[in-house]
Amino acid sequence: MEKKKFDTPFARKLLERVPINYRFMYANITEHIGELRMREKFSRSDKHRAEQYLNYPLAKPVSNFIIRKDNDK
Amino acid sequence: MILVLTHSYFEQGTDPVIDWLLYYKAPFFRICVEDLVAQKVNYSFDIDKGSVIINGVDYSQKVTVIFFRRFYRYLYYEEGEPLGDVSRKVFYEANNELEHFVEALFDAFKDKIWFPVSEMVNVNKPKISAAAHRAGLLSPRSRVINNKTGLLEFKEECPHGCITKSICRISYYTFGKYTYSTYATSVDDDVLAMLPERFFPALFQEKVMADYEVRVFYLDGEFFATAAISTDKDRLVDIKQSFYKESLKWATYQLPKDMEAQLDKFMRWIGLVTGSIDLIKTVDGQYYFLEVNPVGQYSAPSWQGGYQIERRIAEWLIQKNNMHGKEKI
Repeated sequence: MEKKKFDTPFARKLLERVPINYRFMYANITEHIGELRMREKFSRSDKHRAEQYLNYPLAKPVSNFIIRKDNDK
Repeated sequence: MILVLTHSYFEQGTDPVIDWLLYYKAPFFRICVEDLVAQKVNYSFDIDKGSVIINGVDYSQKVTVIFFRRFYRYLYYEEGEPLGDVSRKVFYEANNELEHFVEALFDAFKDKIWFPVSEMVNVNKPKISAAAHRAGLLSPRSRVINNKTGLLEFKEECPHGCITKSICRISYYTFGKYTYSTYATSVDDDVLAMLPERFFPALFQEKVMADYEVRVFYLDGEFFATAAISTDKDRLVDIKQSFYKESLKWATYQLPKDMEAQLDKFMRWIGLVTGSIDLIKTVDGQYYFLEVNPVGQYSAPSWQGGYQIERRIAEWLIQKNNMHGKEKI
């Protein structure tokens, strides 16, 4: 069911002057927001020229393998 | 040569494409926006000739294709005690200096092949919505309204009510343990009660009765579609709120050919070679166009649909490089 209880960190005076969407915010536990990557540990990769390289796959091109039934034997 | 323009923080779409560029041994180099101000490498930009010399090498001649991946972000320059309004002014001015420099650089590189073109990266939702309407795509009726009376009239016109969402984007606000964010919000009695008679202009959109939502990654005429099907009878207005719920199921999806042709024509018309398109399939079988994000995330649909979108992007970049560049692989 849609959460009805909005929660905004902003003061009423400010809310009167800014876009209305700031009134209709939801509070979530920071660590639970996947997009913020709070739980992830990064490395670096010179090959990728990346200072924050993720060491495990999100959607890496890991395989072109075709798994057949007889592979299970 | 392929130039990858991004920022130095983790950006989930960039490295997986670079994985494939490495796999194919494609010539590329990566510039993060932070590199421009890091003072680690000598470079100069000849404004008259449009050439960019990095460590003595003219890259303007070498670059053929540009993978433009969320390059621009505001940079913070201040260390130590903040100076209030003064530092805010410095922050804006320093970022404006950089932004103007970057714009001039992009202009000098405008004849390169961009994925996608830089001018289209920050798409304007109302403009795109109007363009979709003109192109004959079904899209929810949209209004920007600044008063409650006008909002109530609009809501009356919409058979299933309306929603509100930001005109551009409202980001995350983190205060320690909690982070605040916004989603598309149904305009119901609770919302109406929280609004004064006049307010900051806001975007309102007709609510469309969805059977399911279709998320499409578009790549130069190819479509990689995934349907998000909610088994929850009280589904949330904004699908993003349901991403981690078990009731939301993802399935690979084939759009009807005429819908693909219509979307392809639209994307070419607005000048986008790529984009993440959100559609709603209504209970009566129609497709409504919601929005397109030229730099949308593709990792999840790639994974869920087994599409290997990152590989397709890398192959597209390489193909364009081989067709038009001097350094081929």
